[in-house]
Amino acid sequence: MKVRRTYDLLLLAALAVSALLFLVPQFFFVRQSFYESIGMGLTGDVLTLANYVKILTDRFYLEAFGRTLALSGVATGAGLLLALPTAYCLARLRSGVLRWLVVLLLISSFVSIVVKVLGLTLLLGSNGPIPALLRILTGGLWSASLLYNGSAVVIGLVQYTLPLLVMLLFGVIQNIPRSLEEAALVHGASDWRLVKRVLLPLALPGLLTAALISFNMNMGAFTSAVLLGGGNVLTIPVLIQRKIILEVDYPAAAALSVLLTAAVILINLLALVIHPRGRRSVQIEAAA
Amino acid sequence: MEAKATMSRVTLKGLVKRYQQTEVVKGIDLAVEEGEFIVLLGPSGCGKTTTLRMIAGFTEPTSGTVSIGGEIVNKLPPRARNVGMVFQDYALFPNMTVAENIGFGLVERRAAPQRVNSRTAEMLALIRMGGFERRYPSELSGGQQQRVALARSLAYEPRVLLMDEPLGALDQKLREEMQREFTRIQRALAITTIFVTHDQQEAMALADRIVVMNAGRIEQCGHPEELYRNPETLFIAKFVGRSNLFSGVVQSRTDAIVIVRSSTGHLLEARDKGGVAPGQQVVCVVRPERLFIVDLDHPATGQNTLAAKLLRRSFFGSSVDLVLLDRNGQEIIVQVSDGAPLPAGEDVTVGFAPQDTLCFAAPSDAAS
Repeated sequence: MKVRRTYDLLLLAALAVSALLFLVPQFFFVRQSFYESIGMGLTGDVLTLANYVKILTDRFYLEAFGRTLALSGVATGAGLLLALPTAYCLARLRSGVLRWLVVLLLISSFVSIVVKVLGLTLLLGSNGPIPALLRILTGGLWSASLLYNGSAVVIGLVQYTLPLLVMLLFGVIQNIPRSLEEAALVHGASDWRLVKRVLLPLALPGLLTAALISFNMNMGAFTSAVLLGGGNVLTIPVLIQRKIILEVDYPAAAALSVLLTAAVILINLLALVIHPRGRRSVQIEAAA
Repeated sequence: MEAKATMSRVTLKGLVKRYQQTEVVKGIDLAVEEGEFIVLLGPSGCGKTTTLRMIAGFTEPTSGTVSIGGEIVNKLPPRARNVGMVFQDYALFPNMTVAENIGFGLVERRAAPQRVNSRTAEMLALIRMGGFERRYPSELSGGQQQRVALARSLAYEPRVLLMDEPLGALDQKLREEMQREFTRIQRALAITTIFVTHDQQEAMALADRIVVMNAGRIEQCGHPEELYRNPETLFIAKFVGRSNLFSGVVQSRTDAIVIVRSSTGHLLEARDKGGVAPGQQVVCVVRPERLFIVDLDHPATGQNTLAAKLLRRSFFGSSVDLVLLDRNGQEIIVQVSDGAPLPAGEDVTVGFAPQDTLCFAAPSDAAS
């Protein structure tokens, strides 16, 4: 009992540190978004909604929100499509190779995003191998740059989230017993019907979780957008950085952040509400 | 009718499965007749499950053929083989109701909805689970889940029913109930059934014919009674039913009768089962119920006898086990219908008939 109590207290200590380092700055941050900027990084002393009104009525900002959502959505979809088959094969591998592949994946997810993105600029840049290959394949017809546009950012985001997606989906697939697949096949299902009637429904709750995590990461991604978008792809994180560094307008940056966070939270809640009943994920465990 | 009689015969010819260096199944030849209930019995790792999986189509044989109804199905995927299968972990689809699970095979075969519904109702009646249509597998007990799994694999009228240790996860009482249930349903449908288990009692309760496998080969194949009364190898004698083993050396031999000097110094007369020669190390096998305690009512004339000391009695209701120790301190089990109230520690003489004493060559390595 006493040991248990100490353990709880230790948990509380960690919670307190997190609260102090996260919630307190957030409070000042959110508060700042309700004051007007009076230039030179200074803020007024009258509470106002002006920052929000300005953002929500300006086409430029609304388009930036739309762009951020679209890029994140596309990157999430592409990431899932790439990660799902990989995770499936990893989860169904029975040899010792598996452990090494998972370790490799884990290591690759530790590599700094800046390193990954700079690698991509080399690959996609006009002197890089991929545009060169495209030029050869199209007989010189292809001349457009692969860098500094939306698709470059999507590629960067996919690379950013892929290891995590594979790891998450690996766990999801591993939780679906192999015997369920065999049962479906022996009782007459084709491979496609097996995926449609058994694997996808059972993986759906986990798939949704993975999608949301990746989507949230994409919505906040700054490095990919700024380095691969090269100023042409203005997403909300990029705009926030500009507001702070170029315009020294802290309240506007704060308001943009609050709106971005609110949008992300809203989308997550929405996804959880329309998500097919959670009971099915429980049933997988019961069957396993 | 004549054609139908061979439609669901399963024939295995020279079936071999090799994984890299290890040969798991080393050449199986077996013919399963129409409507027969076959049990593949053996210790874990004997290749019985691999054999079943080759019949189902999950594992491709390294060599040899699997035929169902006279047609070689080696190259057919599981879904094209028209077999039913029940798994150890039930493998019910947790995202589907009982009715959806049972109807799965028919829906995948594009049966008309009315047919799916009527057949599902029939199956629910067969497994006596009417009213459970809308339940999910997680809301059922283990026994109910396994009955639904059975119904699912029978609903589309497969040619052959395969069962891979389906009762392994259930407790003893429920297992016996399910064994009766399986027998009833199998008899009612007369479906060719191949059942895998490592439990010899289960095999005896279910099988028309038991195929005992050991180390990738068929050791012996026959009616449960035949296996029990007339084991052809020491492995069968030890694996099917309980046995007392007495090691010794052959003294002499006349036709199929051998005289063995046991390691406790007794002379035993036994039936030769392994072509043994004088001087050879052998093991004599006697079933516990074939042993008796020698007393005035049970004289030892013409019988083999051993001196022993009573260690304890174990009461099982319908029978009593007397556990004895021979001179070497090895346990002997005597199964009697009613134990004479002998005190523990009593010196007794155990008797058994020569025709109940089977003599096998001793295994060459001590491990087996």
